[in-house]
Amino acid sequence: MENVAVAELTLLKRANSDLAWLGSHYSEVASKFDRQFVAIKDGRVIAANPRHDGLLAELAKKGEDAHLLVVQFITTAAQIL
Amino acid sequence: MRIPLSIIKGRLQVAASFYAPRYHTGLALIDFVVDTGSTVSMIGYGDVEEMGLPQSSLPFREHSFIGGTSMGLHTLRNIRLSFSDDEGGLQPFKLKEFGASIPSRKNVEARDHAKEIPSILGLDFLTLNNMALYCSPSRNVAYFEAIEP
Repeated sequence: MENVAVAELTLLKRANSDLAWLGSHYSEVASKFDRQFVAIKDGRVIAANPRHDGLLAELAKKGEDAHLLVVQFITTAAQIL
Repeated sequence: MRIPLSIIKGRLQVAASFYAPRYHTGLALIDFVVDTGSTVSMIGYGDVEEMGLPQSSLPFREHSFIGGTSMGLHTLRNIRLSFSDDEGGLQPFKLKEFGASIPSRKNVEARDHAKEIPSILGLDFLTLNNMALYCSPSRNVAYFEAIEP
């Protein structure tokens, strides 16, 4: 399998695992980080900030690439989309 | 072939890898919300910024209102979105065009609010790629399934 495909599968496996974790823990994450952007990696929140720019800055300080992580805006409010 | 979706606080979500050499972003991860009420799919402004997409050079398509915010819908060309399937394999979709959302107003408040709106896979993605959606929230099961055209 070409290298890009291998990298994609690894990335997606981790991301889907983190999404599943978020699905199971949304209430506790939302109660702690309501109305904040959070970055999730390996089943835990590694950074949170009320502003997206702030989150990106925090992740950069930690040496993390935001575009390779599950990043979501968390809220306890109902969401209509 | 099925692509499993996650149900998170009542919303269907799926991770996709984004690959488009022409935009020099490298490999990127996008968490899409599946919204069958949306006629168009788009990469949300937060993801646009995270990936460092060249916003000023993306062709403008049309104005839209999303979540009360005026957004410009721009066009990405020749991208590949890939998903993992239920057998651990990779399912790539080559797309000639895909939407990218950039706020019409550039003040801090408008940009911040725009980033709260997620990337969206709309009905157009399912139609174009001959996919069906199955969703059973009570069983916490949802997936895309390839169908015969």
